[in-house]
Amino acid sequence: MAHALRLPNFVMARPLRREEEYNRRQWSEVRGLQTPAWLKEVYDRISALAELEENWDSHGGLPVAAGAILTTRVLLSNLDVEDLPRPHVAPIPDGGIGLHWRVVERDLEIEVEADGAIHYLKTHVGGDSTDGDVRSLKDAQDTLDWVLGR
Amino acid sequence: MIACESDPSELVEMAERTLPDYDNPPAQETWMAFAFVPLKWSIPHFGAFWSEVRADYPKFQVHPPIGEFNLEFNAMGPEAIVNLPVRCWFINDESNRLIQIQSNLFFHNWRRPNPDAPYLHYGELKPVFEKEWTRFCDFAGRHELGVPNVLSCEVSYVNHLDRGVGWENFSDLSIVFPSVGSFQGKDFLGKPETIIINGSYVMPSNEGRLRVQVQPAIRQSDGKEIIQLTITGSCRPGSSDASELMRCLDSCREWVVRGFDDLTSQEMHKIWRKK
Repeated sequence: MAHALRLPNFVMARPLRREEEYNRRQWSEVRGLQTPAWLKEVYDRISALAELEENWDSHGGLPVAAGAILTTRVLLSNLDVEDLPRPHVAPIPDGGIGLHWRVVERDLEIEVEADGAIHYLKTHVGGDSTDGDVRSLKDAQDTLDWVLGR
Repeated sequence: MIACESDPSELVEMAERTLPDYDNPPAQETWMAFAFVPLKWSIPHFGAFWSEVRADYPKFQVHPPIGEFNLEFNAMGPEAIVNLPVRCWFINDESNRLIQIQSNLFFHNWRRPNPDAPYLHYGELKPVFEKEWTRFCDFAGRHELGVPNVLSCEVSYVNHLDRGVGWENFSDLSIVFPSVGSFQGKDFLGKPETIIINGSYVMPSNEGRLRVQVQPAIRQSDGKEIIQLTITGSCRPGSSDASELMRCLDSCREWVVRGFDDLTSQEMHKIWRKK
């Protein structure tokens, strides 16, 4: 019996995003700024953090380091964050950036240090916590997937 | 429009002299491509072709094809046949040139290895494309796949306009594109957060179209916010003769360059150091 299947239904783990479909001919890698809806807002927030001056918290907090800005931007532009809610983005006194997501009973904090090193803290609300380092984009993606329970 | 009676090489040189040119254009990537009637191209052909180009393109990647394809198979017969449509990338050592092949498409992409690397002009890239296309056609002939019957030629430039270099807000596109309005609401809506533009223009010969896309984006290599301006010229060649195909590429490229110059502001031209 001969079968004809449309390829996208056969092999795609998820449908292509519109910009992905458009960009498939091109090689240089970009991510559209319109999905997820919060991405532009979060990028603006990160840009605003770059303007903070020393002692921004009245407790001697350091300005947010360029390395932390760069790493956070690269992280968000390379990961699949489509299904995540908007993260809370905040400066950290040592010159880093903190990202915080809460999805149902899972809490995820990611800290990007001034030198670009990344750490995570996973917490089941009202339960156990685990922490560790993020050493690659795959580590980062696995960590984000955890908060969605996948 | 280019007259067919004239010597194409002279016309290309004439066009080169009159086309707008920039010392520091924002082009990040260029591709040239031909679409053709599907060849009876199958999985082993990718490997056989790679063995011929591997010295120049030692790396490969396998991607889904461009366009819609049907996956056909006979699952019941004892000699079950599967025709799996894929697109293969063959990448050079420096990771700045790429050949993309699928059963009905041939692409050659060039990209800047980093945003500060020098720009490679069309005059340097076209001979490379021509050489690789000839190599592909030779391969197809020797493997009894026939001569590709080319349906369309395409030249595209992907430009990255970095935020902070001439523009600041995605809602103020008119700084870069003077003919674009604000798209601000009359009363209720403020300025838009972002704007995407898709436009097409008729090229008067060979059923040609110039397609323009303006897209707010993030460059993944450095996380920078950019406006990605992609301008693609495509047209249908009169035949699959090499000279006609190259003439069509030149025509598409001329439209891309003139279109880019026509759509963008003089302030940005100064930044890109228009000659």
